[in-house]
Amino acid sequence: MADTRAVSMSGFVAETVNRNFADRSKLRDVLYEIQGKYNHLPEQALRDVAALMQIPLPDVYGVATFYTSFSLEPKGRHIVTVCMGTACHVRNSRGLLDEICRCLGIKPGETTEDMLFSLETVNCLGACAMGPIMVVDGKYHGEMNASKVARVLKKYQTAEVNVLADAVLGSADDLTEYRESVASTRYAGGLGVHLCCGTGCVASGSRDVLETLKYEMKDQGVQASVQVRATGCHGFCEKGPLMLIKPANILYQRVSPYDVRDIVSETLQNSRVVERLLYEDPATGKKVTCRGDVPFYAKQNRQILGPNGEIDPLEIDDYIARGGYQALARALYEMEPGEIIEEVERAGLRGRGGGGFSAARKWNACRRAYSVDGVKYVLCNADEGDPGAFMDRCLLEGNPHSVLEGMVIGAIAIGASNGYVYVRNEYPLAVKSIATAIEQAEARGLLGDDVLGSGFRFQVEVSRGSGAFVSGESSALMASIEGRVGEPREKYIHTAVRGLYVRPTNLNNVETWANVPLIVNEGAEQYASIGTEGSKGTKIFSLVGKVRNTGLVEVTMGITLREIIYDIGGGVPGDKEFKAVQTGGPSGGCIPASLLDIPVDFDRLSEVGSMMGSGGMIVMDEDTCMVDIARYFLDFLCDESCGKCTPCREGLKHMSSIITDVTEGTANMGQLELLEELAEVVRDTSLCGLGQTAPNPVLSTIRYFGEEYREHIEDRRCRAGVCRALISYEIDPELCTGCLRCVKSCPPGAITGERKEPHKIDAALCEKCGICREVCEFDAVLRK
Amino acid sequence: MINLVLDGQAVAAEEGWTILDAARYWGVDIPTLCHMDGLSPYSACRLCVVEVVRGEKSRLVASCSCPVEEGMEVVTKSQRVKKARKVILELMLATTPNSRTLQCLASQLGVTKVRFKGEDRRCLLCGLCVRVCDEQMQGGALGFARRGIDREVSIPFHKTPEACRQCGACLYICPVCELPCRGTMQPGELCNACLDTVQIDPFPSRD
Repeated sequence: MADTRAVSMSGFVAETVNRNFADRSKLRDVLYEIQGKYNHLPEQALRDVAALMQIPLPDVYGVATFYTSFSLEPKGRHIVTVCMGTACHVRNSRGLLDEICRCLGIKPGETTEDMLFSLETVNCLGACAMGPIMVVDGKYHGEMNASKVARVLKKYQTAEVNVLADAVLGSADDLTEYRESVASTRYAGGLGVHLCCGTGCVASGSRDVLETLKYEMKDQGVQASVQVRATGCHGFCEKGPLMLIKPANILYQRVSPYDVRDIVSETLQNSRVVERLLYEDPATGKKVTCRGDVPFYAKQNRQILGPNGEIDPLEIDDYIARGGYQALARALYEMEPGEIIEEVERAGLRGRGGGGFSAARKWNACRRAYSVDGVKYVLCNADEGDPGAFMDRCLLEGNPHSVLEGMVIGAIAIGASNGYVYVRNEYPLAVKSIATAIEQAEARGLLGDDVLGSGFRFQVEVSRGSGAFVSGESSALMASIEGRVGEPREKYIHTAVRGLYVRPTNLNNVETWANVPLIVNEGAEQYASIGTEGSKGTKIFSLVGKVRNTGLVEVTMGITLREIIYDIGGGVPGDKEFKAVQTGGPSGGCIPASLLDIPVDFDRLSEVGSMMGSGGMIVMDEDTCMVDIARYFLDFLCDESCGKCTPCREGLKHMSSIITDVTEGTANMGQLELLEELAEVVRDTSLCGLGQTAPNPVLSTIRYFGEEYREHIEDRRCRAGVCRALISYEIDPELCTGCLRCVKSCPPGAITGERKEPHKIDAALCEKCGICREVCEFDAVLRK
Repeated sequence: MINLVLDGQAVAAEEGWTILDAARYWGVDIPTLCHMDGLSPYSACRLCVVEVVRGEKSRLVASCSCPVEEGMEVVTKSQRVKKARKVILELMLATTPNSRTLQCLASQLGVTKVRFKGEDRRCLLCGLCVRVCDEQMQGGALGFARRGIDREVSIPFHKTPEACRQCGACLYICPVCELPCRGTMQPGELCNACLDTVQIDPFPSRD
């Protein structure tokens, strides 16, 4: 038995390696395929891969153990993944995880004995608006809580793929002509239904709505005149699934398959609005019909995100019909490469990935750099690892061609011939969408050996990440594309000079690339007319956490934090008090209420000790403990550090251990000073950006919320009631009616009591999960 | 030739040199751990950090891999550098107390106390063995596995690899294989025997 399996496995491995031309940059793809077939990476398979691809075995072993996507141990048939991103964390994903652990009887990283379930954690799935999230075999379950777990562990479902037609475009005129022909059929101004099929809405069930809609339209006989589009993310994930009725721009929210019949018969047949599906303004209580009037959208400036809700990302013709690839034609036929860079320079485009470095200067350095064989690379960084940020995911999912177009224009300016899009593997929809986009653009002659008949050659490939936050760092990303361990190197020689395969390489973030076609189309002056002195244009933020309207927002630079959180976000839900907003992910900091009126741009945010980062914006209320948040980010970074340099690997571990002592009430003020000293050294001496910015969450919380640290240490009190070691639960005998609800739901069985008698909590057994407090309808459970 | 200022002295260095090369040539001592001539620079231990001053701003760089530049101003013994080196050494000593190299460095840099929780992990992850095996012995038997705090020097699947000729180069080069002069140490314990004798510095810092 063992022999036949070994033979077939080595045959499979050999076939897989050959299909990938034994190319080292395809190593991770080969490993994915093997893992896909055998559910894990068997030792013999790795040995075969090393021999066949002529890679030293320690390197293959290193790659297989470095990335969290790979496993050397057999996995269960169903993979349960729990998101531990920041937004989910502030909505108690830890409680969810504890409950799943209890239900399955295993810890994260383990597999049940019957090999049915494997439990994993992931550091952000980018579906933050729906948090806390759990995923079973790729199916998202949003807004989870401990009581829903058992029910959910049974369901799963799959998604489908798309096809395309043919027409090669050989010149700028071809493109114009083609656009006119597709535009006349696609956007003739007739009725249209645009249903959001971004990850957030899919998690809320928009695929079911789409199926029902198709069926219902057929049933009622309206399908011919109405165009149905499954578009990318509309941004307002909180109210998903979202449906937009064209041309009147009627916004329906929280649409379920049961509402579809009414939508078809009322709105599509008789042009009447279905009142109950409209958004209700919580301030005025009035229903809002038109999307532009919804406060969430009214204050935004959606110049990048706008097309997301208008086009089907899997249809290149939708993009072309709306003027897509026009900028590319202009860049190819009307501008010199130098002019393109000048235009971008005058537009003041700064990198949207975090640092905010001038894009034009980077391009220029890469353009001037010498390459031995003339090969230069243009890369798109879509390794959006920041927990709580998902704008790159949405752009790639919803409008992949804008990113591609930007990349081709950049390649023309720089003189690059090859490109890669490095996407997180945790974003399956985005991977599919960008891969389809590349395929379609190649078929249309917009990519490949002869771009739009100009003779310019540019090829793009997708490289899937494998679960490593540090791979988003430029040199680590390049190492990862080359098929090595995603580990940063010293960048005293910039990657613009010596990057991927030691060739000049230009790396920009997804959002930066998406801005490029806009600049070429409308001109630098127009683009730079909005924004602040140092930061032009717009910026997309993912507004998540303790805020009413979670979702993606695109705002003009210079808007205040207050406007984003209160006018667009609708403020903090419940009657809770706003405490802080965290921007910039694990490299950023927490901004307190007193600074809410600062204008949002690159420079102001770094002045107050945070940063723009890739654009995560996590709102925290009085129930969030700032020490716990600092600890959360440290644990995240400890987990994601590559472990190469001492300060980051060891320093973060000790910082985390000190701060854990603080949350457990066993620290003293001296340790807090040590923490600050260590934080400075880690910032000063770490090898790459991950370590250099890692202390920011700690330093900024000490700076603005030092009082909370002092309370934890000296008074042994956690005012938010989060740090379990410092709180206790009690039942108020006056308020308790003896309903037994808490007794039944207490996981460790720490509550005792008879019906109609006041219950009691046994402090020795209590795990302080707080479920009793959640289920009690009489507020009888007190937290001290 | 490249002209730079090293600890206040105007010196010349050759093109392609690192700051460490220049410092050694001019007799300025910079402690190193993961660096070794003949092996590729790894810049992981960060003990060799120096301060590079540019106008108002200054930053710490790893001297073992940062190339010299015209007009560069390097300070190797500022307070900031000293503090950083001490903390880094403390972090290493907390996990690997039983290394003679580290204990000697502690005396040399004046580290007299380890303020972090200790354990004995017996590996600094300096990568010298991995590099000597690959680059000098053409063995390719060793590699790194896992990441972050779980990172380890490993032979694949913990089975002796065919590629290993048992040449012993990895043992020879390992800074943790040699016990401290006074024998086994407990985590957090320091030898410090040479503390008063080795702190002679031909180029004392001016701050």
